[in-house]
Amino acid sequence: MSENRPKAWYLYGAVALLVLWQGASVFADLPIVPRPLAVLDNLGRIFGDKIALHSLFSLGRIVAGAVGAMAVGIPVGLGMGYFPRLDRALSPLVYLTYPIPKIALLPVVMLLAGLGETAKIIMIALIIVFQVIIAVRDGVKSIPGEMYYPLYSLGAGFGAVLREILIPASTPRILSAMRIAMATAVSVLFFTETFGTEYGMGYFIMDAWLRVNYLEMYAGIVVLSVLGLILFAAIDWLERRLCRWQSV
Amino acid sequence: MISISALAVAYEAQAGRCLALENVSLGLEVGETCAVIGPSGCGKSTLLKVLAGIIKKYSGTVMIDGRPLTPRETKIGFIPQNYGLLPWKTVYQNALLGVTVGRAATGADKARLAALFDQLGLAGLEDRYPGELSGGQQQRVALARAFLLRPTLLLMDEPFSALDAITREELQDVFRHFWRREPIATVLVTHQVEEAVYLGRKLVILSAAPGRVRQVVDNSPVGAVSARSDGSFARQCALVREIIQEAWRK
Ligand SMILES: Nc1ncnc2c1ncn2[C@@H]1O[C@H](COP(=O)(O)OP(=O)(O)O)[C@@H](O)[C@H]1O
Ligand SMILES: [Mg+2]
Repeated sequence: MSENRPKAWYLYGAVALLVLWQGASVFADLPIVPRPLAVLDNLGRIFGDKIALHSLFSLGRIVAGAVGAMAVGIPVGLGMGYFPRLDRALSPLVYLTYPIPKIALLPVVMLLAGLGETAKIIMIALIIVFQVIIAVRDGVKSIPGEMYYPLYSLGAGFGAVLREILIPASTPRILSAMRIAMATAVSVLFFTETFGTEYGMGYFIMDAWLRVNYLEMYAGIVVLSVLGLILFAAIDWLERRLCRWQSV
Repeated sequence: MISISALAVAYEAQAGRCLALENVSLGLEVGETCAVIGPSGCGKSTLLKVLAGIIKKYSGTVMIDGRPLTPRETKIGFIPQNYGLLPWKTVYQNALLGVTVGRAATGADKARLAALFDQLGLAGLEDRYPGELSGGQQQRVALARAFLLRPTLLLMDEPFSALDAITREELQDVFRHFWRREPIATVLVTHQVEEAVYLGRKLVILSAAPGRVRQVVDNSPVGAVSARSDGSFARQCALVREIIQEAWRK
């Protein structure tokens, strides 16, 4: 039963959204708010040869950015959590840079990394990395000291502590940081895809808008939101796989 | 073969230095159980942390067979006050943790563990997580881990004190049963007289903070030998209680 519940909830969300949308479209009665069924019908026809490629580009950038953010954020967060001196040295730096709206860094990133893929991926990674660093650091700091004792008394080195304690203890924190960062990451992805590329959902939606093709524009928005849903579902799935112990 | 001499430990707290142990000297033979009794806060856990190599800043010496005692050279099993199970590992993985630090579990380890699980009544619980076990079951897993490891020195911090009376006595019997089959040098810390007299061959009575050794009582005729219903057990408990009352008053 508990396995089916998330699926039922996703379905419920989709139906509720469609009903609201239908209501809004009947009420507004404007071309800019088309009927959901017309949009879905259009989506069905153009997905295969038009949207699929764009959505793969967007997904690829998000995944690359997330992987990059974890590759940097997890080691830094673990180090800061475990070694108080490293925390004291790096915390001011993190606290100063974390609140900067990352979109404000876009011009700098573009200047350094160009207009291509790298800049887009760096932007996404920048959004996620701070959340990961702070989540992992706080996760490690909250491990009670006694948790380490059996390993210390076995003469375990840092590698064993890392493998047996630090990484498993911070995995749920990493996943919830990803979940929190994902919405912002998708918005920034959208923004960065409106220039310097002809692929990606951001490009597709803006292009449809400029062509005054509202059906395609909405089809793109639907795909973007499904993309978000897939990312959240993937994080939930990972959490159920990796953190089974947490639900006990 | 384990000898502690003139051990003193101080913690650096905000309010200044806090002396936890002072001038503690002790000897422990191979296959001897030593029960350390002391009031709360007298430094019992601190003593175990020094022996386990967790606290490294102390004065005095802690030697094993004439060499400094370190976890790298001596196999030390440590059961902390809350059993020290890792919540993200299953019962099976937790029990194997002792032997698998530094190497993979062998077939022999797994066979011995299966036998231990049977004897400890843990069979069938292998895939559970510690959060799904009762306190007594968690303690059994901690014991399985310790006995599987076959350490040179076993340290137990108030191992049975969080359990209800029936479970506590059951587990004390389990411990004695295993210990008699394979006598491991053990230091166990407790604030309970009966537990100390039942499990320790040597009783070390500490004073209130900072902990100093008040008296060492030879309990070998009673500890790990007699039954709880024995007259000698009751007499020894009464005697030790008297000594403690004397020692903790000062
Ligand atoms: N990490 C610490 N920092 C400062 N003081 C501590 C710390 N751990 C223990 N103490 C103090 O040292 C004394 C002995 O503690 P402990 O060894 O835990 O006692 P026991 O196990 O006998 O109850 C206590 O007064 C306690 O407040
Ligand atoms: Mg204690």
